[in-house]
Amino acid sequence: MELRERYDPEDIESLLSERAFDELLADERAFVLRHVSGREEYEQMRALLHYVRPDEHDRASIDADEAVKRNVMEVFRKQQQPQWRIWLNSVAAWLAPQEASAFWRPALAFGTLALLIVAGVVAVRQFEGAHSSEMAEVRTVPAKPEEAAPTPARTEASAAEEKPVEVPPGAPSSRIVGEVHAAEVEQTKTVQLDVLSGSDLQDDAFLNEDVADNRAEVAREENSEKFLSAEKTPDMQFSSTSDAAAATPQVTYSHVVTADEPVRNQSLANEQGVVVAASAGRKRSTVAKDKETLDANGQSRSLAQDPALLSLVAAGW
Amino acid sequence: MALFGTEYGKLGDERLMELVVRGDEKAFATIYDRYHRRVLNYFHRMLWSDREKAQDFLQDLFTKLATRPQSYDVSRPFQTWLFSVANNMCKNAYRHEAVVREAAVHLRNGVDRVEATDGVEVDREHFRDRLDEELDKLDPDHKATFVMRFHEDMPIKEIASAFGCSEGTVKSRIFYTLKKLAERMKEFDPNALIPHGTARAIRS
Repeated sequence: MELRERYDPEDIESLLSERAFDELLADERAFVLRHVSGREEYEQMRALLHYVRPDEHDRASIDADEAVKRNVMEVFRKQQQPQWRIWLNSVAAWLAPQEASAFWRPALAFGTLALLIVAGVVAVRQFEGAHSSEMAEVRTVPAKPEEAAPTPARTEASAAEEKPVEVPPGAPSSRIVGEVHAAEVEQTKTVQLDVLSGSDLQDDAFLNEDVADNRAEVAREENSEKFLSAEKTPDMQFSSTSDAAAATPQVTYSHVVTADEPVRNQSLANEQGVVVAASAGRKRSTVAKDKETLDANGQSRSLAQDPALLSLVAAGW
Repeated sequence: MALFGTEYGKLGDERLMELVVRGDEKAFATIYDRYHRRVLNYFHRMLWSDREKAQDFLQDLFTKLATRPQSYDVSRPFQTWLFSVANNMCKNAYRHEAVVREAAVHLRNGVDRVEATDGVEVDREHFRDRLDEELDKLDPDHKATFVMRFHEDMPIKEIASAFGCSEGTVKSRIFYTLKKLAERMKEFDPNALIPHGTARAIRS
């Protein structure tokens, strides 16, 4: 049994490869002789096997023409193309089904898409609204009599008299200190301007507008509250929060400057704060009223060229 | 992954076929470059040394692979599967071209061959022609087994897998093929033709 497992008929190939007939063991030879006629046939087969094996490798191999590869690759490419066509056809069939009852699918899909877009727009707008548009805060405090005496801040402010408020363009300052001589307004208050986002206010022109805005704001506020008083100093002082904190005992009024305020005409002649640009949100009646006010006050003018102002200053002297 | 920078030459056959199924053209080209010569020579041996027919069969085989790569049985080694497909194509050719089979000797005469320079070479060429002639007379399965075993140098196990039969059947086919060839080519003495002194090694 063991011999049969070891020498199956098909395993004669291994015997032919490894041993000559004379080298076979007795049991191997007995097994071989059951399948071959004798020594001559065994040796013939063995010689053939040993000749064929290397000879098959030595045979010159042939190579295919390049055209075969080109053709095959072209077939492969063409085979890949129809998949896109099938996909597009399926999309077209899905978007425009032949049966009317199947239209609910594209309708539902497009409705959902529109809903998502609307939700996205609302979310974005709310997100933008969450960001503060506050640029500065204007506080008005009642001036004390002793503040009329020269203080370091005031001396500094006097040196800057007759000059517009200047801020170095590159300075990251968030505070502005300035003093504007406003003789035409007899009632004054110390206005504290606390710029919250100073990096946006580096432009000089923009700063001038901001100061003018504060002036107009103060004027409006005082007109409405009727705080006319000759006892108060004829100065309108802008000071930083830190400086004002030491000089001003109480904050009586506060106004936050928002990003949309700089678009308004902030000249003294426009104390009503007419919006020059982006006035779409304003009512027509308000605009007309502002226009009347503008006409009444005349056009913007320089303080040095205003004869009324000059006469007032002369009277004061 | 999209296979950025993938060296296709280092990938295994089965992995390449996965990519071919996904439509990867480079993978298909790699498979072709790797196997086209072996398959062509197999067809050449099996189809009566007809080079044009072998090229046609090669193109047909890879066209089938290009159009239906999903037909590849992933449970089998690719080489085995490829040769089994090639063998089936040869069987069909044998079945439908019996007339051509009769004229195999004439077809073979038109094949390019190395010019014999001396007596031994002439004998070797003559022996090869005779061997091919006798192989053509064999059953296609026996011939295909013989070519796969000795020309393609495939292991018994892979041949069995390609034919879908047992290893014992393959060994038996090889034995009876050798026996028949030795019987029919008695007039030749292979020992005198064994090249490169291998005859001495065999005798020892």
